Amino acid sequence: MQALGRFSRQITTTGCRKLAAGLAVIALSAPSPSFAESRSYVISLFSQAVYSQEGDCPGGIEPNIDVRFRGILADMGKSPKEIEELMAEFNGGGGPGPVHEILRNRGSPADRRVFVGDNPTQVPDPKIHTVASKLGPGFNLDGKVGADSFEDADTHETGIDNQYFRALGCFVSHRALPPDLPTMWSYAWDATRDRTKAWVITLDGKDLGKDGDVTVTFGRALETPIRTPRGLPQRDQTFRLDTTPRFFNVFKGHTKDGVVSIEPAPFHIVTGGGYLPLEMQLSQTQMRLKPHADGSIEGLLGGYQPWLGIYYMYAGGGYGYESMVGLNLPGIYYALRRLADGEPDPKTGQNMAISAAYRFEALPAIVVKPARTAKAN
Amino acid sequence: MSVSSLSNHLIRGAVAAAAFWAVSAAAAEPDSSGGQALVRRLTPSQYAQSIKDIFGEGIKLGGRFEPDIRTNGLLAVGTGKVSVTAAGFEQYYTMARTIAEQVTDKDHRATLVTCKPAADKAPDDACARQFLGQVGRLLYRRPMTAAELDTEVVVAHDAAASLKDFHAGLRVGLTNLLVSPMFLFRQETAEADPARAGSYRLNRFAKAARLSFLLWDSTPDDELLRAAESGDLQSKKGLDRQVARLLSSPRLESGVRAFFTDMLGFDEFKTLSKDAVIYPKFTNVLIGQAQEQTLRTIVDLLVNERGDYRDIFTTRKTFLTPSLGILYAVPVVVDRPINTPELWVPVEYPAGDPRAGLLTHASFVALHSHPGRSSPTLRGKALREIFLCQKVPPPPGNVSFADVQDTANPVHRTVRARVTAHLVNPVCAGCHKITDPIGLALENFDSAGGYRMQENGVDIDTSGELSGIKFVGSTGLGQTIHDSPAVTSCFVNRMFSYATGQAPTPGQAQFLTFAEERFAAKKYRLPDFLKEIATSEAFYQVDGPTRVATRE
Repeated sequence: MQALGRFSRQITTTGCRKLAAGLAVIALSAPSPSFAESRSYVISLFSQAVYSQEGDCPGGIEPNIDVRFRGILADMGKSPKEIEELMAEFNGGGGPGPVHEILRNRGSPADRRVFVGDNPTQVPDPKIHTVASKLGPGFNLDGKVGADSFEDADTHETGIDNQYFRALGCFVSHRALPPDLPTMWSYAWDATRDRTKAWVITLDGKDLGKDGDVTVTFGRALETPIRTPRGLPQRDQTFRLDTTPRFFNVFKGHTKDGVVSIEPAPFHIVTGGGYLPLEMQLSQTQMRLKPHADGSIEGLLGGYQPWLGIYYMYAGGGYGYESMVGLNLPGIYYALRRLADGEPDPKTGQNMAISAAYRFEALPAIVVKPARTAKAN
Repeated sequence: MSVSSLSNHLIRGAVAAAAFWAVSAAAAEPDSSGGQALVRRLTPSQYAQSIKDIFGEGIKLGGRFEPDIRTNGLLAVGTGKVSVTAAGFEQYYTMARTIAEQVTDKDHRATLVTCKPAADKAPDDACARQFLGQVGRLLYRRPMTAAELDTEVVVAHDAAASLKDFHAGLRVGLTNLLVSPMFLFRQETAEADPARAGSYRLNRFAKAARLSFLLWDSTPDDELLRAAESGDLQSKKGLDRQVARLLSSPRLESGVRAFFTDMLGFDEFKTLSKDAVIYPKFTNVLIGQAQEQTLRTIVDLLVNERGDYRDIFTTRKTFLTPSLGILYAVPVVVDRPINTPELWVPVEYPAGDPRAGLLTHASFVALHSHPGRSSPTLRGKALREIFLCQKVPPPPGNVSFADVQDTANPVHRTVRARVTAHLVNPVCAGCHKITDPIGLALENFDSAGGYRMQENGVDIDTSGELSGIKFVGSTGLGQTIHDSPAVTSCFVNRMFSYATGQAPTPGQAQFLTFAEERFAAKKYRLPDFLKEIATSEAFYQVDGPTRVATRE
């Protein structure tokens, strides 16, 4: 029998106050005495943070699939007649004929045909177009304001590091102006959330309605979100935080003017794969959480992320990411490697991480969180 | 022990003894008359339960049922007033064929066909007679007559010979049994009551069926039929023995569920919908779960715990799923692999929690609301009709509901304000005065069953009144209903109507009063009350035979 006790009353009361930003956390074991108030949320939307504007790709938007593949075939020495014949069977990436094998395995030796996504360096850098604009979302991770940094459109903070946005921001599938989502991420999150466990956030503090210290827990739950009739995640669902160490993070944070930010620390979460890196890791992580009047929150998460992990998330999508989504896998590989701006390899000097930012939204939820997790990183 | 305390002790003892003898003296069942032997169509639940009990859990029905008619507050009473339409018969026939095909297919015949034919590709009358006779007895709820059985054996023979398949022949014979009126309708037959000259009672097989459908919502099992065949069921001892057996079976839960599903009007869930934009938490999953929450709560309280019937209005114990937890905004922790059905967990609300009692369940507050707004009128009407057996007349046809429906009204921002404005029309006021003061106490629950403290930014006033008793909120209403004598009186009436399939007659009024007293004496425990009904003479007593009892 689950005795709801005082908890239920707390839910009932907070759930009805318009300004209540979330629901209480149940402590399965002994509750931590230091937290007088807890609010918890389930992530309802997660996407790469972008800020696409007219003219932000000086080289132009990356060409569509047909144009790109014709160009690739031309670079491979195919005659216009051969290209016409091959592309006649392309059929949106699903047609018969040799064109797909040629494109999929381009650049590999004749006796050992392998997918170019798995071996991107078997073709020269196609030098995809990248973003060059003033505005971009994220955080100033290195404390510097340089030529390769943006200004955040919301906070007007300068020195924003988000080279991931710069690298892929000229693909149509990765372009959007908030609150719209890039097509790729909209699809990816929708397809991912039914088959992966929910991501949850809890805020613990003495009085979350006031400025002050707050402990932020960001982790994975043991349950998947239940959807509304319109396909969105439900509010007020109960989740149990997965206390496997790699599955949750605890940050020291502070609230100022209602906005929560954290002290930089490592971030990691196992995603379940699919359309996200299998294990998402960030270093020097920063986060900003802004409450909404309806009890939900919006957030921004940023840090340095291993670029190879990002790349293989795309390569893992296979040839379809090129033939149907319109990406250029070797181009992404080279762009990420070239624009990487963090964690240099001590031997080669190559930066192994790239600055990245993600935006998310979260709805009030009930999170069962064992007390032992309430310890900051 | 002091003298005074001894004195008090003796006085208490004397009072207790007096109460005991008063109850014992009242234990003699009064004479009653009235009631009819009916022809009642099986409900969908009774059909499904019968097939399950006769052929096992795995047999699928493969069809749909015609709608039942609610009469005198119960579908059970309507079953005596319905027939089968041509379209309905098509469905019964489809189901009969589907069931017969499964029973005789290679996967099931070894266990369900109890004899083995001499040859698989030829008729075998002896085997067919054995199988059809055994199954027919359970389906018809009495032994088949020789003529009935002969007919089906011939049918099975001809089909087997024509199709060169013994089991195909059996399938045709079984299909015939399943579409027979003897199966689809409970045909109650009267006989003269040897103990009361000039009176009639149900015959032994009709008695077995009435008993079995009341307590198990299913056809009589082999043991009950044997008691009927031997005549043991017509003796008091024999009846007591069978009633005790049926009441002690886990299948009693099916009977209790069927009764409350009918009484609470859960058939209305078939047409229930909520505006998904306003109430995104109310998914289709909740249509079933809302009913199941209430039925689980009732079964647990009344059957498992043998609790007081009146406590269904105040109990803080219930069962929830993750989806119901979302709707109610309460925590529900349950282990469940991805893409598997939701599991149920027992929950107990803290003292004083507004969600106590089944009047706060979505099965009540959501069922008796409009798709996009709550309705104190519908809730108050439902409460009076379902639990107090009072009839609330429908509104006149020429009334404007504009004031009530305008949920965005800048002046009347709560339902209370809107219905109050509506009451300036004296034509409306008469009925609303008996419904709204009850329903307004449940205004903390929106149309979907979610909890709220404000409407349009205004604090909700949940004060209410019933029969001059004032209360506040759902807990106050629940306690008032709990304490109302009309609630138990109504329950007795409903249960007797459900059991007999008809509204009580004036000649049964004394028995109902007696039954109410017995219900109270048994501390409103349902199993004990069911025993009172099932062992009473009134339950089986009928007017003169409506048909000549030619067949047993």
